[in-house]
Amino acid sequence: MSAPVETADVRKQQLEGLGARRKRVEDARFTQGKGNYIDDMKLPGMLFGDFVRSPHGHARVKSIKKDAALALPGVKAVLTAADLKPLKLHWMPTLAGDVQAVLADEKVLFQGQEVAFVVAEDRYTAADAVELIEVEYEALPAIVDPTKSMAPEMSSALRFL
Amino acid sequence: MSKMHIKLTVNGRPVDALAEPRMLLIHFLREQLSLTGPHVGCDTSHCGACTVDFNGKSVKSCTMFVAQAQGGEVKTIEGVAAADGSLHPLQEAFREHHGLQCGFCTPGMIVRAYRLLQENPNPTEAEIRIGIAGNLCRCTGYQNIVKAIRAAAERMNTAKEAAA
Amino acid sequence: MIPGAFEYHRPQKVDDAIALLVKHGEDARVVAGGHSLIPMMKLRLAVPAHLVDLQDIAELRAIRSDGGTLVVGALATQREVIGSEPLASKCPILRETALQIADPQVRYVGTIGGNVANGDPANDMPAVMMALGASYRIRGGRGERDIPARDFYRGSLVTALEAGDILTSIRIPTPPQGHGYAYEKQKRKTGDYATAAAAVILTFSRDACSSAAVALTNVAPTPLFATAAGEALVGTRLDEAAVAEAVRRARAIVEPAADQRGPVDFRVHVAGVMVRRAIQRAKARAS
Repeated sequence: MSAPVETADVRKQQLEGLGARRKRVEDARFTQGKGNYIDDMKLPGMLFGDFVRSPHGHARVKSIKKDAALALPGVKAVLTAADLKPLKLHWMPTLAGDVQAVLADEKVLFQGQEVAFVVAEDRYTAADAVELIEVEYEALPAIVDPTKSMAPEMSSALRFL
Repeated sequence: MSKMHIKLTVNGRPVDALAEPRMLLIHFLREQLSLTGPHVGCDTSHCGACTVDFNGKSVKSCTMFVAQAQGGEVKTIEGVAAADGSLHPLQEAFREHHGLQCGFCTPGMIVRAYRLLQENPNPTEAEIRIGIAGNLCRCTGYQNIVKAIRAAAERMNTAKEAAA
Repeated sequence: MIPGAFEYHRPQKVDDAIALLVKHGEDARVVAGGHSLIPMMKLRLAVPAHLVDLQDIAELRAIRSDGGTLVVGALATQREVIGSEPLASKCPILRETALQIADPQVRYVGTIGGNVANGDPANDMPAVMMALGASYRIRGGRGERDIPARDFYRGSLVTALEAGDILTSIRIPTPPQGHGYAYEKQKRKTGDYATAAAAVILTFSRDACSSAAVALTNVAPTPLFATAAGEALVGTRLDEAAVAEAVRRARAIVEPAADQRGPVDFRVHVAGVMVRRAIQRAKARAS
């Protein structure tokens, strides 16, 4: 870090009153690339995760084939809602007071929804494992117009289970 | 997926490593060399947070395979300060002029600005804005980044004149 | 956003690169600057098992003036095009266009060959090459041939390149001294692809237009050479009536996709505006 330019007296003077000019304490690190952001963290034995995501906005998940992914060296686990269910972790409470599926539970409710989670030794292996997981979907109609979704006959279509 | 022998120079030091050819340069730097200064921002080659200086060019390291860097010279933000640890005028100027808030774009921004000032040691404000068009910042609105780069240029040019 | 695995090759000569492409067929792709290909590989939309890196092949980089022809090596980067003295003085539309492509980092690495050869309708240089009447020198399994830019583009990402072909250089008939030129590009932000763009090359002196070529970017599955629009200008004073007719004819042939850059009728409108502005600027520059 470069040496402070002001003397203690000058700094004390500058501390008084509105508009006193202060430098941030973190900029020295950030301008040298020593920020320690989340992705910068490196811990021994650290594992990497990646998701299989649904291309469909609304679909039934008929089957998930994990074998090829699990056989890939470096893959530690492939999790689906079925794995979370016995632990009662497949739906979790949100801050909005409702519940949300952690991984798609028999049905996909939005495009991009997480269907399976791969855990592997490095991010390249995790990404390769994602490609090896085969999900069979039965595509269902998706209502994307909010006005239409409010029609009385739609209310039964909004059941989650 | 067999690995290849990669030899290159990073921040002035020779590097000898094994990596898959498909490994993106950004991941090689961050994960294999533990140089976490350059960041993965958008991963779609837009934001420039991954910018490094490669063979005298500003390059988005998320859009380059480490295999393509074979035999080359890479400078990351970690290589911008002098060998004795004293900060580059750009690093001091960014601090002085509040050219950062969260700091995530900053390594890429400074490494790009470093090359910009090599290309054009006395850029106008407009030339700076065009010159950093490949580096996106969500926090600052760019005003103070431009000021910082301008201030660094002035300081570097004054020092050059004084030395001459 | 991790690419699939591949075997990496870095040949030193064009013929070695071609041999690799011929050997591996559909499984091989060349990489120049990589700023179109690598993003596709990261999305796994392109999964070549073999990557042939052309960066060491020196003969692909040269830019030179050869009699009445400008020869631009396929591996010349956009930045090298911008900085080239012969190109700036003899064919300034290239510099004007390159400055509107992407951003400084991409221009350091992205090549003019990649920009014209991959058949992406959003790339800027193809329309410029069409307007210039340029041709592409291709070397491949069956030797060397030249294909005019105007005949090169078959569909989105589909070109006249056959398996084993490599674009080695672009050959541009040097435009006449005093020619008018312009590349007008509308985009949402600096660095974006075109909502619509127009390239115009014309000759105009003593109030008469003796030649004109108009081409369009990103308003169809391929770049478009607007033959009829150019014809509407030849023999005229480039007055409002002639310009309006050229614009009308250009608009008639565009078929832009509706996307994040706007609905179809908006992009057709912008195409017309770009043609108009390009003609006007080319006229102002002509002598």
